[in-house]
Amino acid sequence: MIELNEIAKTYQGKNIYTEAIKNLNLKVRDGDFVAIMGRSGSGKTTLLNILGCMDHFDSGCYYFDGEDIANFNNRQLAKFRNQKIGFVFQSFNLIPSLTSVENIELPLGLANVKKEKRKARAYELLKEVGLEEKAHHKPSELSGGQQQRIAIARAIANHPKVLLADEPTGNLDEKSGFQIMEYLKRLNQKEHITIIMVTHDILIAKYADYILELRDGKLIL
Amino acid sequence: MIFSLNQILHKLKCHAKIYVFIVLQIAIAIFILNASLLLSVNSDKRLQELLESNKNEEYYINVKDVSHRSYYEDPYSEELMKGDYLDIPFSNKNLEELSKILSDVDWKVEVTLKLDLLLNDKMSMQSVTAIYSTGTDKILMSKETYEIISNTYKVINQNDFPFTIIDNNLVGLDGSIHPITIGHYENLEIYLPYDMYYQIYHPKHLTNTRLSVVLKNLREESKDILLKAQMLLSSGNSRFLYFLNNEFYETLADFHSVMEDNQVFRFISFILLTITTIGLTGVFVLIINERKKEIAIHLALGSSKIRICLECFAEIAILALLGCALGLSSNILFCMKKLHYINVPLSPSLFVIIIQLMIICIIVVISMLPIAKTVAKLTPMEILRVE
Repeated sequence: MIELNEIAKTYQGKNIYTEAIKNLNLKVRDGDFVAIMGRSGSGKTTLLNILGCMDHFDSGCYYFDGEDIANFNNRQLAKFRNQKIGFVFQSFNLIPSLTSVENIELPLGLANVKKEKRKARAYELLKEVGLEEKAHHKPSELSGGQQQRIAIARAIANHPKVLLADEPTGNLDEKSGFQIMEYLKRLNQKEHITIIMVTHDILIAKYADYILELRDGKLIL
Repeated sequence: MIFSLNQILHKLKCHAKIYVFIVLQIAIAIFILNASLLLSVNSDKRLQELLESNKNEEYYINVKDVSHRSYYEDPYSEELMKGDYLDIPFSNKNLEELSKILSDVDWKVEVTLKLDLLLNDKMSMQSVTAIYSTGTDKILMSKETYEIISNTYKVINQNDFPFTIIDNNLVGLDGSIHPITIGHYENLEIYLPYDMYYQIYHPKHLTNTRLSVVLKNLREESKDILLKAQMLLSSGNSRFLYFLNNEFYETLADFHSVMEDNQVFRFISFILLTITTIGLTGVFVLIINERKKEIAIHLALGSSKIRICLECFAEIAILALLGCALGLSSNILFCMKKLHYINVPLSPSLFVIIIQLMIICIIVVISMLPIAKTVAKLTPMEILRVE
């Protein structure tokens, strides 16, 4: 489903060039749960950004379901992110001024889903993550684990094919971290959502079907 | 619906203080601009009405002698001598200049004087009104008047009168011929061509001298034409006072002052609108930087940058429209009280409202340009980098 061929990405500073990704090749099949590990600065986040079409790559090809992403314009990329990709961040990135239900509704609203359907789907997800009673709470009124569950609910609201998780347990205590991983595993197995997760915690990475290591911008199996 | 109105209202609430300031600034600018535009529109309208109602009237520049000569107090005195009034309110040079200024209108100069003429007994006098006019080549006088003019001339100048009547012409010693129409003596007015002013001179009393300007098609510039003529005549001539003696011109002068004031209003509103546009842009660029993370989340979740810009556009448009509505409604309240600025009524005008809405649209669009640039520079990856 996802195929990266010879992907390279270099960041340019003032007379400094940093090669974040070097001729990287990757194939991820439907329903895979992949963990990417690596040290800080190894290019994990850059890879996730490229996979989530949030950053451009300098060379190589990126195919998603056989479609060349390089051919997409900004509008198509935005739609692609909205429909096909779900993001889960280390620091949750919920909108502080919105309630849990409104945060979950956000990607649905961007997909122009009607209000009633939006609400129904948001409550369905809230029920799924066990936070129905927190529907009208703002992120500041929730614990870290609860916030991450809301963030996951938001990420899967549009039934994406792929969930990209960047250190999803990084800001959580151990117990909450494992709860989140259990939930992600369940999503992968029941909903067949492909998950690509970046982590530096081997215990977390073990939830994945296979683990890849990223070292100096290159993948090592 | 592209974006949620609730969200926009929520954002408006978040920056309520600064937004209230922006709205008030826009309202003040619009208020002054509105007043200025209303003045323009209503003064134009009022002016057209005035021009229409004064279309076929004749207008004058009147001349008043301010030299206070007092010889006429004793007409029998020895001082009754020639050339007491050699000065003339319209010199030949002036006439040339005037003809240029007044090239578009029918005009004539009439200098009306009282000639004091000696009767046969040389002790009694007769006053005759002499009208020297550029509007005629003919002389109109009675034979009797001619006799007493020539007689007076002989007495005062100790010379023969330099004109004789031959076959309905007044023939000068220099051979000049002026056609003459013989009138009745009872009518004590004589009409003379303007260029004879220096040839038939006697002690004269300037009574009613004026530049008569018949405007063919009265229009706004007519005021300027006459003002120019008035200024030309007044320059370097302190003996005569030239003035536009017509209500219409007084009204026009008021309009002139309204227009001058209006330029100040326009300048102030222009400055305020410029400051508002810059302020609006600056505030929104700052707000976007503040909301960078939120925008990045939206972008990551599948929002497009165009959509983000549209949301900002909606926010700015709401502020601009609120300011506009506030400014306009306060103006309408003034208009309802039937206020006048000098003599121009400030009646509400749909045209002015449309113009202002257009100006507001331009401000919103101009404000959006740097904002769109700032949004375009944002990348969703920033959200991950801050982690």
